[in-house]
Amino acid sequence: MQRRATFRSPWLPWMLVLPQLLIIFVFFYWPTGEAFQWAFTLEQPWGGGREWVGWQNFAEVFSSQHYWSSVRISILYAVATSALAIGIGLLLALFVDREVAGSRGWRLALIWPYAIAAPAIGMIFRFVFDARAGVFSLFNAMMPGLWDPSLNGTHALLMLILAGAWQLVAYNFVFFLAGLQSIPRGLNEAAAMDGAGPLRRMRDIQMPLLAPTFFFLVIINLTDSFTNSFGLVDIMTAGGPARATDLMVYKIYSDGFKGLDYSGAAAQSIVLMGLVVALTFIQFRFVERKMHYR
Amino acid sequence: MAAIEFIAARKSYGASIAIHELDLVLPPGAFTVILGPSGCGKSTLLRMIAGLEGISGGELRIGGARMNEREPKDRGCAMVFQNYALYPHMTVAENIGYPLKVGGVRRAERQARVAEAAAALGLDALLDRRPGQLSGGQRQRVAMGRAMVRRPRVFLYDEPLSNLDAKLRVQMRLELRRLHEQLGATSVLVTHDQQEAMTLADHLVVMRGGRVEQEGRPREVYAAPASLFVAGFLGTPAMNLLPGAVTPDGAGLRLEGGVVVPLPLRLPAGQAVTLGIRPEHVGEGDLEAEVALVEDLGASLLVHARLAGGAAMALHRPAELAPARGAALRLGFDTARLHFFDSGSGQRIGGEGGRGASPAGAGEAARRPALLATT
Repeated sequence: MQRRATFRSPWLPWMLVLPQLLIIFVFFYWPTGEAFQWAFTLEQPWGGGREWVGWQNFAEVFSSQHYWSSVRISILYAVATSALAIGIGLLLALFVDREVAGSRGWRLALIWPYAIAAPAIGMIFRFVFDARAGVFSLFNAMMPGLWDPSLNGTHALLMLILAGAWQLVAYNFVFFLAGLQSIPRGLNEAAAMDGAGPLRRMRDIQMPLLAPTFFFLVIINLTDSFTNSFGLVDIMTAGGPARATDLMVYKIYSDGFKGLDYSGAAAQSIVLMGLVVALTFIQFRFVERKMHYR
Repeated sequence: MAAIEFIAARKSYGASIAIHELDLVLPPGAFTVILGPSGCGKSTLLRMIAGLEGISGGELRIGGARMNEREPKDRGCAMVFQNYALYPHMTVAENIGYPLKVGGVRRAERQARVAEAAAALGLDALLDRRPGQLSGGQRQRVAMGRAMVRRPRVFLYDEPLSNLDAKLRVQMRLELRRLHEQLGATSVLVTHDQQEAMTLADHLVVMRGGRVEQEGRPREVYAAPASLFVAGFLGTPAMNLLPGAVTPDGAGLRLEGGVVVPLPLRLPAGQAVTLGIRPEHVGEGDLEAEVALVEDLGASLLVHARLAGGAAMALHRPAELAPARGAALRLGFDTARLHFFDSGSGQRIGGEGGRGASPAGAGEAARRPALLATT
């Protein structure tokens, strides 16, 4: 089946894709170019041109103790969020795939959270985990000092991880369910005839055949956790307490727009971009190739 | 060896009925073939035996024990699926050994039994490959190995040969038969290929629309089809079926076109009756016909002739005597080889056809009262 549109005018196809190209250029390539420029230059204090400084901005970033602690927290956050979101997403998909009662309704309900904007989620979770209101105020009344994300950095990070995972579960669920439903029914039936119960079939048949989906989601989740966590951090903790939740993406914002160190922030964003590019490269180079049967 | 018994078993999906109330016994140790066109419920029947489909009513027994509530794995059945359903992420050895692994058989014994099954199927050299690296015939063997290795009481085959090319199909057919003889378990095979059914079966069950149309030994079913449906379905080329009406004196059948064939038994005058005769039983006689088309089958010729009055008739002729198109033929029927069916109900008239219930050596199953004959 080959359907190819043919245009009489050579300009028409370009005109048709122009809006899309324009959007990509204005919102992606242009800012990226600017970031590169800033990363290698230094702005004069009262304006009046930039000065080329080579790798000096990067050297400064890499020698900062705060930066490395931010990297550490970001990795912790990304790994924990991805693991939690993938684990829960897989579990939910396995159950829905078994057509438990009401799975049609659950399917819809489980997809929704992905459509909620991060700041809204952040707001809700901030209330849920607030130490002075709701459930946790009750626990705190019973055991004082049990939970307070506004004072305890570990609590704050944990809260952030839970909120981040909650958002990603929906996305993972959709992909896992699609993956499960593309496994031929006959394989499950054959395994049932071979004597494997439902749990055994999940382990021996469904999980291995989901491996391509699984690795795809690992990469997507990690990337998403590194780059898309700004909304949650900004609303829930603003990087605090005491930089305990100062994720890389949030640090770029606070250094750049609050600390007014454009050049340092630009250098940081180049580093983050390099990280995401590396993850994507791994995805295409190794995972996509190796994980397919047949 | 275990018999499989259906006792008033039914299967319905909501309002639509897949299997009507069914009484059927598949004899122990026999190779039973369930034959029917697509959508006749034959695969559903097989899946009911396997436990992959629930039973809506009645009872299923294997080896005398009720199976309705048992899980597939507890029924002692192994199944070969149409698309083989091999696990793509496991090697051939792992595929064959999977039922044993699940069953908790020790590694050493497992390997021995896998090797044994592989040797029986000629898979020794392929044990480390994955299904994706195998040809259709090899996959088929792996699927059979996986079924064999558990030493089940019952083998179920769901159209196992339909995905193979013609040559391989004939070869695997022989192999299936050989395996059945070697293993001695009860085998049930579902197919829509009547040649496969004829060659493989000890016991043939013809299904149509969720009911059993006829059962018995293949030879008996072929020689005395119980209905127009079975007559037309079994045999290639198909039986010639010529509609007609009983003459006023009740002793002959006037075919469309005016030819009168004597009836072996008295029938009410005017009854609409269809005459059936297989192409290989059409001989020489005094019926005038004209050759319309000749097909060369290699070993013999298949001649499509047109009787006076327009009725079509296919017949075999030796390869040496090729008639030209348009040539005149004089055909005759051996009256002992004629079949008569009621054109209205489709049921066989006279002869020992009935439901293939010939007393001569038919299995226990064949002696059960006919299902359709009672309707």
